[in-house]
Amino acid sequence: MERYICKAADTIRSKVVALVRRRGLSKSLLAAIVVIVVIIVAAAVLMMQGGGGAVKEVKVGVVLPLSGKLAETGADLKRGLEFAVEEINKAGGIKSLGGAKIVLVFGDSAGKPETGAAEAERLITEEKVVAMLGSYQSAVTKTVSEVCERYHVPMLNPESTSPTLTARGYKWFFRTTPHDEMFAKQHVDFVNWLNKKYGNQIKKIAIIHEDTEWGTATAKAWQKYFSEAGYQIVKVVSYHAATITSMDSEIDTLKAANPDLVLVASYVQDAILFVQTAKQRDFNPKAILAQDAGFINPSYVKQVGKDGFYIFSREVFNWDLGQKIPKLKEVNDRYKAKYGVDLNGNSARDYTGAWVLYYALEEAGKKASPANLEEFRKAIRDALASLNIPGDKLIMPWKGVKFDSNGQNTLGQGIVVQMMDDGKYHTVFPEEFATAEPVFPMPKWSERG
Amino acid sequence: MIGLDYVANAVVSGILIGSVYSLVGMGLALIWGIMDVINFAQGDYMMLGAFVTYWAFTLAGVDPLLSVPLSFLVTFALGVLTQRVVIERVLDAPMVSQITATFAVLLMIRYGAEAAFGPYTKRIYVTYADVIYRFGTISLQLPRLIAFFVSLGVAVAFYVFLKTTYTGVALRAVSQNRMAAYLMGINVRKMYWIAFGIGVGISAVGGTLVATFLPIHPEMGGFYALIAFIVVVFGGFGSVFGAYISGIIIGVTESVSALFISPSLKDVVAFLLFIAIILVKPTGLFGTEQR
Repeated sequence: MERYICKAADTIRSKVVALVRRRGLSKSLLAAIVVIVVIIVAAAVLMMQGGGGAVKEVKVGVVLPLSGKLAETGADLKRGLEFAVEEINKAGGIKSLGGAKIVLVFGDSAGKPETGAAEAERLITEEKVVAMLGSYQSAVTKTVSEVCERYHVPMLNPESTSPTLTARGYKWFFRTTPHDEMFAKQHVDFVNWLNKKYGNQIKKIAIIHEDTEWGTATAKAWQKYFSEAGYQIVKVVSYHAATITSMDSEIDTLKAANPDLVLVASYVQDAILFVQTAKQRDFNPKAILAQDAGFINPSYVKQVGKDGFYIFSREVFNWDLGQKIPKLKEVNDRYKAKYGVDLNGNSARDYTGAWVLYYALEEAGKKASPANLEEFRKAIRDALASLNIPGDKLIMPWKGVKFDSNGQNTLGQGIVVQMMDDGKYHTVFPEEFATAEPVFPMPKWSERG
Repeated sequence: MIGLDYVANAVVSGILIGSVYSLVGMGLALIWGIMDVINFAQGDYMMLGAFVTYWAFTLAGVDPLLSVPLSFLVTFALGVLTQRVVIERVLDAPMVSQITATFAVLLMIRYGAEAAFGPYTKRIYVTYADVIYRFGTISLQLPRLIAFFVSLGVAVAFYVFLKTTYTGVALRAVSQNRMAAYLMGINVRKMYWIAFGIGVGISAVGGTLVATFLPIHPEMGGFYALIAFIVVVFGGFGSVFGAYISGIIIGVTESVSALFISPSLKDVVAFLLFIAIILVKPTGLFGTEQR
């Protein structure tokens, strides 16, 4: 076909040249004409190639913070998704659609809710994606899911944990990860367990959190569940992560309240600053329990050094879980061979999210074709709603994936890890996944080497 | 409860971080004072300074303090280049063009750095990072203390430079009256190169200092640029030393207010103070009437 086009192009060119000679058209005009002709021909060729025949690929939109303050978390999440999709495609793609490949189309939220929504709109209306994944920050997931709900596009959210997201009764929104209230409840279980094990040493609790939707919702859930369980909340401090350069005053406020346990919800740079400042101000609570995010980010783990030892973090995932979940070890080995880093809570959850969406696509492919976009999106939604994935198919320490009518996975659960003096996080809770005994209370700064 | 001892620590901590704000602000004030150009990319040159230090430290083991001149020189050179290639061409253009031009520079530096180094957070481990001095309840982290003294040193050196050297005097002359300076045989174009170079170079020193005690990443410049703007207006447009003092005032305001109100609002307090000062004295704390 191209040959004919080339021939046609040649003919046109010779005619144009003749025309130019006759009329004496300027060279620049000729150049302009050539450019236009080339564009038209190229467009025609492209259009002829697309359309018709079996579906070769299925586009899935992803909105993540790929630039901005959270760019590095975004890069991590992107790797998890890309790795999963690569495995899915290598294993033969979506079999019910004749082996169609999944193609991820990324949009950059830059960490901003309004940008995320605009990107989602672009992916849906211009890229014609069949479903959406993302978008990490709850505030962004919120606006992106609003767009998805409006356009009737199924959205699978693997990693946002604000409880409000699944309290809206949305029809097109599904979340695989447990949310902060579930985690907060589990935090209480963990602290109860510590108290039982080490003789009721924790009574007074202080909270420090970053002040966007995620941190604030986390703090609220903590306040609710810990006070319900009979603990005393002595201080709640919030700060603005994007602009913090010194945390002395924040730590001093906590110190003045003299808590036994400090609960922390931070991103990466502020998490490092928190730890440094706690040391500098000689702030010694009996335990520090973080709500993952910054504290489990590879950069944090790499950069924090020995000051990060003995801090507990709620996690959804940990490298040593491989000892308890065989499938995880396999996947992690391949992942590490490719990217040189272990899977973490973020990349593992997005990896899982991509697989869960794949199972739904497989089901949807039996009932509808992506050629009819509207019908196919609906089929994906229905497939997600009735999905029931057993725990042994996952790399997460979950009992499985099954969504309730609000789209929340009811079978998810978190774990609690502690950074030991090898600089690595070890799972300490729940007991069936634990690989180490907790160090409690954490040694005072003055007693550390 | 929050006692005076905590306030004392907050003041000290505010002075230390404020001295870094001062450096970024001073650079911005210099460029503004001499050329009437607002350099939006100021914070990103600071980030470059931090990364020069990081790479010198990581690749060649150069102590961050020794890389202060290095990061100054590298950024100075880049600044002169920026001035020649970009700023010079928009000096007499409408202000919107100038803003757009420096904003373009900002985007190129910030996202260029992100593309080159990756968006990852990096941190320098100096051997003295863990040295903490304690005086009662006041605790001082050695790198922050060093940062303060280096910042003070740079400010003093800069003062001496402006007052005593030919270039310094020429710079001031250009700032006072460009045409008169030109007629007196001062090479105004060259002075502009130097002004922009020094302006971003001083900020880069701030970046170097920050790198010794805070994690660094390609987008770190944004916040410091914002602070630098307040510092400049607060201190009096173009007043380099006003900028130095107001940087410290803002650091202290942030730090002390965080003890008593929600720390989330500490930047808001800094801005409120800024607005209050502007209401009372529109030319800023140390500003004089504009020509």
